[in-house]
Amino acid sequence: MRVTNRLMADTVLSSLYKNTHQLLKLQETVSSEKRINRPSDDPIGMGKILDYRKVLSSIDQYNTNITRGKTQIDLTESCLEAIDDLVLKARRIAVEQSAGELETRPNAAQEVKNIYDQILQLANTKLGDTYILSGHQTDTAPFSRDAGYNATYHGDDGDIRIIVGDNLDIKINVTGEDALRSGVDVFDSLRDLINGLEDPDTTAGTAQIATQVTPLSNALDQIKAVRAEAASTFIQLETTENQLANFKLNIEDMLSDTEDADMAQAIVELQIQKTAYETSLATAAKILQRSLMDFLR
Amino acid sequence: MPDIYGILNVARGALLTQQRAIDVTGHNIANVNTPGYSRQKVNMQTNTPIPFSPGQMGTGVNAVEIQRIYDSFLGVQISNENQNLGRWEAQKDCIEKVEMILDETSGYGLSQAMGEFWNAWQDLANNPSGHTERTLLKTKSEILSHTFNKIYSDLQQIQKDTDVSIKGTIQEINLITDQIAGLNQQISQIEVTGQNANDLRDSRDLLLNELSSMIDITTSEGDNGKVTVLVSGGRPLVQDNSSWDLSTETNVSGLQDIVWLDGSGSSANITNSISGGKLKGWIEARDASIPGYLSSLDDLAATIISEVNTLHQGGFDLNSNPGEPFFTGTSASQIAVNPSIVNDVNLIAASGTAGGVPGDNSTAIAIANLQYAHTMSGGTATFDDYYNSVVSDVGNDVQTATTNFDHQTSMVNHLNNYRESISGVSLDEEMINLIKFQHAYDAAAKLITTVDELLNTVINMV
Repeated sequence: MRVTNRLMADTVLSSLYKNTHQLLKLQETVSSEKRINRPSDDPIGMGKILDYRKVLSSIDQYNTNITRGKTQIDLTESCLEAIDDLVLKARRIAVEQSAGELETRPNAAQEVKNIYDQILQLANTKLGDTYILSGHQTDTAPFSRDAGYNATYHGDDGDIRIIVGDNLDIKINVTGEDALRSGVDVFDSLRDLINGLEDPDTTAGTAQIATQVTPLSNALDQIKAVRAEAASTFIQLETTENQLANFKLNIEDMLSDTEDADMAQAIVELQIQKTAYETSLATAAKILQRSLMDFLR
Repeated sequence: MPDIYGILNVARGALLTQQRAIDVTGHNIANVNTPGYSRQKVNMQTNTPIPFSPGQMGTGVNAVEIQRIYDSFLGVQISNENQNLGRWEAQKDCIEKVEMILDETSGYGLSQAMGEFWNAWQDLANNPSGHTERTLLKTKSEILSHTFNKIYSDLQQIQKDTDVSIKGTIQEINLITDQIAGLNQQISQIEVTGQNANDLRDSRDLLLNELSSMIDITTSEGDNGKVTVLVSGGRPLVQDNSSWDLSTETNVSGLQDIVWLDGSGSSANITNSISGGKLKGWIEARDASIPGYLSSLDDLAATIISEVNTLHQGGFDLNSNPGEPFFTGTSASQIAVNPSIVNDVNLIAASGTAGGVPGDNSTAIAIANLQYAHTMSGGTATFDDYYNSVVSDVGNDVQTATTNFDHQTSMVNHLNNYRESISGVSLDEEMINLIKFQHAYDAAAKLITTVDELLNTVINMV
């Protein structure tokens, strides 16, 4: 085959181009530390990367949601715990007073009134701007009373739910109705207790007081049952949080496997390519400079 | 006549012939770097011998023609491969731009915008009456709409840019065909007289090569040395001494169609019958690939709009009124957040019941759950699945175009190298030829000196 000067120059040039193109590609991989720098580098890998990123972003959001849920359940638990203690106190007063201690009755009445108001205040706790025991009516205080200690529930029975997974949402609230009114009506019971303590007719009063002991005991059980339910939701949230943490680690691993470049390999290849490039340059210099004219004199 | 003057004639012929040869060698050396140049050589032939005693007497040498060293079959092959090269080059450039627009590797593309949109609904579900959460949702929704709008309009801009390239190329094609027609005339005029129009043929071949990278052509050379260039569908671009022009006209989509003008006022639309060259690459990207991506984007946007709106209108806002449509528009270019919601975020309907306001977040949860619902591809894919497959498609298209382009480049390089090895000038070879012809010239000059001495001897004999 006849080899002309142009042919040699063109061939040398095109192999230099190949070398520099490879060099550039490797350089990009090393400096971005990613194997895939555009969808065309690996279309299937790119699809996977987008999937993994989406999952990671979802997991972060679920964690935010779970934190929100745990905060509300925590606060609900502290309220109910305090209410529990207060109801216990009221029950003790009822037991004592049903034994007939008439001198301490006015004090007892005042104490129960205070207990009533404290329970009312606790039930009207807010988390930020929202009332936690009102169901869906989060901008309205769940309970109020009139002068006769008749309580009214202004909330509803709505569920507050949070999303913790794909199409998975959990109820995180307790309604005032469920905790304090359905089954045993705590407020009505306390009202009757107050009326009994303040009844001028002491015999009828004592009888009334006595009839409030059982309801108040049942009220304690009722509140405990509600607390247990909330606690199990809390545990469910924590378990989910742990699972999500593990899952996130796995996904991050898979993302890194797909997306990241093997730095050691990339740098070695870069070195090899650099050497190849320098070799072609040296060879080019040697063969392109000589021609017959150097020897003809 | 075989006498002393005959010898002088032989010497003179030799001198002139070797001089021609050195001339042509000089032409070769001068044009060693000229693109498209084919080396030339002088064909020498012995003159007609004269019958004499003791036998046929040779009468010297004559330069009969200057021949161009050239493989015509190779020219056709190169032209064909050039068409494919031009096509894949143009297609690759176009679709690489699309890849850049989708910009998914940096993580700030549509995928992230959609993800943040769904997350904002979950944040709203966590606090349905919160003003901050509502404002954040509004902002993320606006970002989503703008991202859709921008990607759509960027893709349309690529289409318009290819139109500019197409117009420019058409003008170049017209210039080239004019030149080829001119060369046809010159070449046939010269060759009628029996001489080879070597340099003009080189120019014409170079022009044909350039033309083949732009559009698919079939060429054939007639007996009169004129080349006929036909374009898709057998329409002539160059025939004899005349050339036909191509032009563009705007079609129903607002993009340019390519038409062939027949010179007497009517035109034929050849856009769909072009099958090679850069024009084909641009047309393929502009009319097939990009519209595919545009319609996928439209599908995605339309489904998001209708699914979100359906749920939103079934919910209730902070004023306990039924939700208005959340998005306006029906396509990727029109999608926008309802202006009344932009002005008053309380109109975002998070609640599922009128009475459940403000704590009820069931509509917000339902909308957030849309991201897992199989709403695309006839109920088999989620929004993210669908979009991811669009991105993969673009990646695949670029890969295909790049692979074909690389393959074609090495094909064309190989053919060009082969052509160069046949028709190219080798300076070493020309140097040696120069020495060869110079010696021959010296010898012929010496012959003249000898004849001169012979004549002197004869004249001084008497």
